[in-house]
Amino acid sequence: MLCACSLAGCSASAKQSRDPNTLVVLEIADADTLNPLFANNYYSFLYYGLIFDGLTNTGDNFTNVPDLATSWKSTPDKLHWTVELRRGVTWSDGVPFTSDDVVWTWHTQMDPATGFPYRGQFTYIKSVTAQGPYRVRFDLSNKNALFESQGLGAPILPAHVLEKIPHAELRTSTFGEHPIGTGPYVLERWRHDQDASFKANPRWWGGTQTVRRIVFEVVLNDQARNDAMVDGDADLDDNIPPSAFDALKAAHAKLQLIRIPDTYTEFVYVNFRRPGLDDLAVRQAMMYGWDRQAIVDGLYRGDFALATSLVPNGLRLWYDPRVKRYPYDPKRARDILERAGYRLGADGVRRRGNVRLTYTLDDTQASGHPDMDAAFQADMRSIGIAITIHTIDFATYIDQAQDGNFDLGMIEWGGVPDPDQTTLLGCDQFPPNGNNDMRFCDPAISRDVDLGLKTLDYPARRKIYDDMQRRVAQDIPVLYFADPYFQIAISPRVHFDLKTVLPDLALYRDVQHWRLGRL
Amino acid sequence: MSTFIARRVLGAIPLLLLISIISYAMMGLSPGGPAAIFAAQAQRMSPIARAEFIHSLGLDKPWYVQYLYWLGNLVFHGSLGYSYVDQRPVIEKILEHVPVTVEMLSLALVATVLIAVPIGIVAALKRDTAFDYVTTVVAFASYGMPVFWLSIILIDLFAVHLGWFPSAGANSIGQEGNPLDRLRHLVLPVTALTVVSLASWIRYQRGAMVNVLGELYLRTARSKGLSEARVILHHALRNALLPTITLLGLSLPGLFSGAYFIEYVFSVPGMGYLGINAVFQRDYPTVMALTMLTAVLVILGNLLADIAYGIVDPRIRYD
Repeated sequence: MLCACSLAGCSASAKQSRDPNTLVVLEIADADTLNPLFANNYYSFLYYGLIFDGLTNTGDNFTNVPDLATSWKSTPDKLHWTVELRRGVTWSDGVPFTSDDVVWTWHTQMDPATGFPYRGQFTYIKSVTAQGPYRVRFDLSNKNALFESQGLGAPILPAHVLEKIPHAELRTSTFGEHPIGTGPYVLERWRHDQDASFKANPRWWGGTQTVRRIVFEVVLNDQARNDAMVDGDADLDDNIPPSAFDALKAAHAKLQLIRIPDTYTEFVYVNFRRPGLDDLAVRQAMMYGWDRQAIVDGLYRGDFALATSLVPNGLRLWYDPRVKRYPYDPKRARDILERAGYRLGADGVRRRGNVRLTYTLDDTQASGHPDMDAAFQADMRSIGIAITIHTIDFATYIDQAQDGNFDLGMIEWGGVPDPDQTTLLGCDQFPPNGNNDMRFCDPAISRDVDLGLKTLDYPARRKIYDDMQRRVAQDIPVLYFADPYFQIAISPRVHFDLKTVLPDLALYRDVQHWRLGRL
Repeated sequence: MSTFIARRVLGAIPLLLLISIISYAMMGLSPGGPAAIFAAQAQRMSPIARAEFIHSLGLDKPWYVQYLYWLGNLVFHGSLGYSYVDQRPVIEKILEHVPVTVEMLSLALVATVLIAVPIGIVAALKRDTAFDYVTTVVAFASYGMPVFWLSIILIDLFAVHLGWFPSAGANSIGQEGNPLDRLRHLVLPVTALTVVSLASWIRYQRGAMVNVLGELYLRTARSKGLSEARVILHHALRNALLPTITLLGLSLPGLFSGAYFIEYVFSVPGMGYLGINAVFQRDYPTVMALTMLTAVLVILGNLLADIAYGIVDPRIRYD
């Protein structure tokens, strides 16, 4: 213990010894691979986004801006796209970037042997052909509103490094550990589950990076992350948990604390094949009888905004606030159920004929909100609906949902800066075809999401999604809970345009041009 | 001795085979799976892509066929396979996480022995005194303490309130390679692991010493005029250490499994941390590798205990 106590005294902050040109970012998990062909986790997307470029990048307000492409244009039917590539770009190993890299990347992604997990999203891309070293043509089988962001935004890989590897063997190649890209940074060191360091790519085409090195530190513990921010050992934490804002403010007045609406929304999945849940009156009563505001204010200290539909209010270009709302009104909830013929039994649970309003709410151990589940349970009980909470592991949860073996399930959904909900709401998207685990089908909504995906003109598309939001707010395919805020703490020495901050990965879209002050 | 070791090693093979079959079957038959995790991470992953992913990993085959592939790979190629999560060789991942676990376990084992053995001996010598009773109560209390609960209490007290030690990780930011900083990070996890291990060691040591103290050869030693210190240290202690040496080997797997919870609570990036993440992510190859490693440790621990027993007690023969 004596040794331990003397060790306790040697708690020197790393602040004095660290390089002022290094941006230290705290994360709660590590990337899996840096090979964009197989990456399937937020941190992988974050890390490889520093190393690889797409043809387009995310600009302010989630617009598409040039990256490896300098311009792109389509035929009037939006089925044929010609992309002009940036000249003078080299890979980090010095080899010039050309259209061959774009063509190789797309051919490899679309080859089933590769096992690219997102291939299904791009099946509308018929062919990708080079038209000279700096021009590429994309031919599509049908129009797709996500082509410019997701299709042209996909990272481009170095053909000269990877083309000799059979596609089926790319998964186990070491490229994910030793990536070569055209982006502003190169991987310097990666200690899995601990930290990853990226240094400025001297061959980057975009000029000089003002942030010369970025280190991501994996720190799971909330307290340790807060300490690192307060002590100045780290510059940015983009995982500020609910309620930590006030503590951080109190501990370090100069920290820049930012809270912006995120692109996620949280809701309770509803299984439409369960008797009672297929009845709009029951779903309406559940919405009116659920005191969501009390949960947000009491349990999460305002870290959420109430959700109104499936489009989170973080999607400013698409969010429509003029939809039907469900303020907390338990009397109204009970009246709706009474009128619909659900009578209160001696056990406090309503029933109509053989239908007894008793359901199980599944939540996951990893992302669950036990307090919120309990509050939901109590609110439902007060209107005569019995809820049993069932906490399970994530993999089981997903399997059960896809098999239709559930009543209600709490889930976070979204993360994509687009209102498209095709796989969730399409009548043809019941598993195994899509993610419509609710087995919900409203032909008008299904038509909206189909049409929305095929419409590229913003005003016309906006009108379609306004209609979709109005309809889903009325139909209640899910019980809307809340849209979380993206909360970050930034050291006062980090300077960038805080007015244009976007949530999640888009936060780092221009990190190479941030400015770092003295430690 | 070599015949004995060879016989034990050969006997371990069917046992390991059985463990591997049961482990693989439990994973294969449990709900959820790697594809569900993968699909959940990529919420908009299409069914085509999901089917391709399942096929690419061979997960569309029955669990026993997958098991045979895994076993064939291990036996004929000496490979533990590739992780489903990051497609890296599993052995590479394990080797990355071994050092910090070995450091933590070694420190905990040394601390446990250094604390428990003297306490056990003194408790036996002062049998039925206040010291003995207090030791017994403390030992049972620490034995009954859930390791994750103790870890949280230690974090709350020493990291959050007193701020003496870091609450998580294996080193401070920018302090990689600083041994003092590493040691500072290991104090709380090692303390937790030591406290929960102390009880059985103290009780074993006390029990062994009490048994030895009743032996006739101690009376003979005393009647020869030897000092009490020489009787205890030279004659009693050597014999009383026999069960403890056995425990040394047997405690290896226990410490290893205790490290699973402790590493997760303290975010120490060791084998336990790797293992729990692998279970949550349904990374079958990594889970299997760690399960087999634990099984080998159990068998090895038993074998080492038997060998050590023979070395310190010449009466034991291996034929």
